[in-house]
Amino acid sequence: MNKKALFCYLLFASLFAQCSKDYNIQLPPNKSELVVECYLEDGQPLRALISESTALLDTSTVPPVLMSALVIITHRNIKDTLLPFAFVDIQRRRAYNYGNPKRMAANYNSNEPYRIDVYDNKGRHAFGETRFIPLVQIDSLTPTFNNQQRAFCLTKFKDPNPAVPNYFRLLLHKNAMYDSLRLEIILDNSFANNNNEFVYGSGFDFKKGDIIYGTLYHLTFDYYQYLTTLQNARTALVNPFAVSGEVVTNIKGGLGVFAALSVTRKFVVVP
Amino acid sequence: MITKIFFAINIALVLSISIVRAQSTNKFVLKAVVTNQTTKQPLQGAIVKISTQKNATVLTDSSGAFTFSLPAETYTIIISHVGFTQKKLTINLNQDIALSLTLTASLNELQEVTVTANSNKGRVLSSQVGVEIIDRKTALTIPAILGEVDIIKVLQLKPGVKNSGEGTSGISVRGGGTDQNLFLLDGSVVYNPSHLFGFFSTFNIDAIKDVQLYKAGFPAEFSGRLSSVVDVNTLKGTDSAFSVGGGIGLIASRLNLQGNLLHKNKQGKKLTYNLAARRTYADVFTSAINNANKNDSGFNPIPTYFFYDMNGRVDFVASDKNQFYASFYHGKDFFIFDSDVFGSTFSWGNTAASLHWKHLFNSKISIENSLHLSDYNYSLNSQFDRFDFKLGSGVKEYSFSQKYLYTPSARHKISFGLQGVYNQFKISTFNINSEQATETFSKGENLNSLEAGIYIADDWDVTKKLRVNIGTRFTVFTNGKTYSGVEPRASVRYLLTDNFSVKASYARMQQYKHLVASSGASLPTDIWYPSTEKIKPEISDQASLGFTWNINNKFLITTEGYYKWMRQLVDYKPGASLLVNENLENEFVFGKGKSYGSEISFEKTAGKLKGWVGYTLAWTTRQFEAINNGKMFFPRFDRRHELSVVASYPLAKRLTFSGSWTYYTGNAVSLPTGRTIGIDAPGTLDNNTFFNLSPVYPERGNFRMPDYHRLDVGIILKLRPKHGSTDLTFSAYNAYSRLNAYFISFEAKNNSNGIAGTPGGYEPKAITLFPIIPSITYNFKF
Repeated sequence: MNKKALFCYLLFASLFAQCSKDYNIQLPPNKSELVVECYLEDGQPLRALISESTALLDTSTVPPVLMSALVIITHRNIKDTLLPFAFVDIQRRRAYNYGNPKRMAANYNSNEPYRIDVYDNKGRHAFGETRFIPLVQIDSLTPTFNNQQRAFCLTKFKDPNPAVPNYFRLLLHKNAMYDSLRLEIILDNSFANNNNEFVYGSGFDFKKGDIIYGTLYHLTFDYYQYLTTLQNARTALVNPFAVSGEVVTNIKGGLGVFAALSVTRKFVVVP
Repeated sequence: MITKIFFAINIALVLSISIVRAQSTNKFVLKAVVTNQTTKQPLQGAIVKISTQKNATVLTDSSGAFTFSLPAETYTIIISHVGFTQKKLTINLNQDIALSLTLTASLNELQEVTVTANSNKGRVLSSQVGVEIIDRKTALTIPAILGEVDIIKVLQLKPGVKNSGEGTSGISVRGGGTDQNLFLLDGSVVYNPSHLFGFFSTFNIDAIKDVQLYKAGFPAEFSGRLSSVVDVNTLKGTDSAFSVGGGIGLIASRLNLQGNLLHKNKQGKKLTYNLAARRTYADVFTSAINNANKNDSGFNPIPTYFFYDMNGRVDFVASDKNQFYASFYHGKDFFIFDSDVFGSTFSWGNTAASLHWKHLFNSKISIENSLHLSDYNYSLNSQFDRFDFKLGSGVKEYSFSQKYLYTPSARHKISFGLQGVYNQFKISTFNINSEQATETFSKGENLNSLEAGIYIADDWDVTKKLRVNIGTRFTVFTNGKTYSGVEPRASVRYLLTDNFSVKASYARMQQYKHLVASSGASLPTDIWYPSTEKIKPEISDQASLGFTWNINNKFLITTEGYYKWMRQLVDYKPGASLLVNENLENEFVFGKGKSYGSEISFEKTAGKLKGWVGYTLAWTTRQFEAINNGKMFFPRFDRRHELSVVASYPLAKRLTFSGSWTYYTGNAVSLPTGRTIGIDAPGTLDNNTFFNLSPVYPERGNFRMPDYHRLDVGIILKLRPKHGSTDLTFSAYNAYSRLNAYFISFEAKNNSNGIAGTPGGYEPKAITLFPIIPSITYNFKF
């Protein structure tokens, strides 16, 4: 989200004692759409979450997943069908309802597209394209202590090509690769300094003996737009100063995202 | 090149003046300035009748001046103004004559406040359409939130003017965005005319004489914004040696010094000054609370907030033909957050300064030369460990103008002039300094632009019934790419009876500087950006038709219908990257808009009970190819009906009651109608659920907020001090404490009953801001 708007909102919220009350609202009718969420990752099986959107104030606690869709991923004219298959990744806390045991072998430099097509029994067809882009390595994770023996972590990585726009998502977790998130930032290469290097600091969230896991995604523009607008949309629910809530998706005929993950990881033990 | 063009234009203007002077031979000119005898302030809108064959009538202008050019003869002149005793004088016009005339407030009117500066008759006669004038007296009687009198919020009670949110001083005029209003303080642009996120305007009532809001039929001297011109005039110092005034309120206090350094001068020279300052002091209390709890490790310090502003005006009357004045404003807001590990100071503010020289060549032609400086900037400075962060944006403006007023005869008043503007834009600068050179960071975009304009207009009494004000303006703007445009202006008044006139107008406006709000509200962090190769000037065309009816000099009814077309409007595309973007223009998208509607105002201008009822019926739409799938939508400031009732009544000699009631139907907002489940969304990676919920916003402006209404009441109790005058002003904002929805939020709720790891849902909440807010202010003047 727009950090300046968030800052203004926090100021505003702290200056005025606003009050809230339950509100009986009659929203315009919702048009249900196919929702596709599929990430391709090197060494991982093909899997996707296929669902449909429901009314905002729907009180159902059952996820609106679709189990009767046809899901096909195509690459170099090879079609792989993902079958209905409930799968829960406990470690990452992710759930999928379509899968194919074929493991992804990513070629980060080929620039060849992958396509997903989803057909459901209501006649809806959603599709999208993505591709792997070159990996970007984290150069360093450097903990620095303050006088209260708490450390912040300075992450550094290079901009692979300052001549063109590049987009990144940086995550820092504490003591577990997918848990205890301490930093999440989505940025483009306008944040690189004059040495074409990104230098990004966390808060004083670490102490001696902690393990800091850094995860760096090199994002396509589509995926970057999806993540930032999704973040805006979620913020707009509770922030009167947020930017507009439309989510920019790379799925035609539906919602969601289809992304090939160019991701690298690094960790450091806080000395 | 621009400099050369303007040099040539200047020469041409001076030559034309010389020719005009040579041609004026057979008539003599009577020029006079009418002032209020008590306050010494010029009286605008006084009706001046002269006993020519056609009983010519003119109105005094904003400086209280009027001019006749007549053959040699003896004339009777009658000058009248609501609230003042009529003055009649006989003049033998056998040479050019310049007079200084005063009107005395009539006793029965002195006790109370006039609702408008213009008289009913004057407004019937005027060719100007779509104008609202609020003087400081009117503003002082209307109840204000927290007792802080705000002349801009009084404007919001006028038809066609919408507030940009509860309690805020931002305005949307006839469907225009909050960036489409040109705020001028003695001619200097004020780029962000608000304190505290718009809850107070920058205009301290102690420094303000009046404000004129032009909604249509814009005079040719104005340009630069599509929808309105808010021309704020500061108050001259009094002729007396010295006076001190001010007020003590719940959140702020004011101090006002006025005087005349040459009050003993026998040659009539005057050097008057008016200095006004105010400051909020909530930070005094929050600092005390923080200090009292500094040893409590669980206590979160309250951030420090305050604003201050200072106004100054110095007038020097050197002679009958030369007057000078300087005007200055500086104001700033501070929000300071400090902690052991992270300190941050957010500040924003305006500076506006101007120098003016009014010179009377002869009784037919005068000139006003002005130099202006405007500066608006915000900065967010933070410290974290070895890093210093500084984020900011701003705009500076240097300008000069020459305004000529030429009155060749009683039937023509020709104004013409030129203006040059140089702007420096500092856009989204972001600097990080560190002890280690490799960790420093400096980004930002700096742009400059030049703008120039010339204009001419004639306010022409074609016949006794028909008056036409016709003019045009030509502007040039360059920022690498050069744009130019002609902006025709015309307004017509036709008198059906002495008290009933029909008026029509047309005006084109061009806007070369764009303030694109990143959200629905105006924030100090919004960025001014100039037109570039990609960003063309925004253009509006507005036509209006209405009538003005004076009923027995007690009531005034005005109506106006309008239609406004807007082209090349600017907005951010969805997902625009606004922070640290050195090519922000790539984030803009372009579209069109229109607004139309009708306004009616019923004013009671005489008697004990005074006030007005205003009603607006309006539609506003926008259409951008890259927004809302290219479909037309209602922007946030689209409201269908708006009604305001304002009244003041003297309950006793020293006790005045006032109130205002506002009602409007809900403005358009964009709300989600659907939701999706997902497995990865920013900010959700640490959740304990397998699915997260995200909203689906299908289209913009798809929902109407609930209707809004609010009553404000106030009582002014004049005290009886031994010296000077004092009063206590009590007010209650939102007197019946209606909880109007400011925003509808959707809070995510946990799924306590469903399958573990599955989504919960959303709960709608109406966020309200202000319940009843009583306040008391002590005002004094000695």
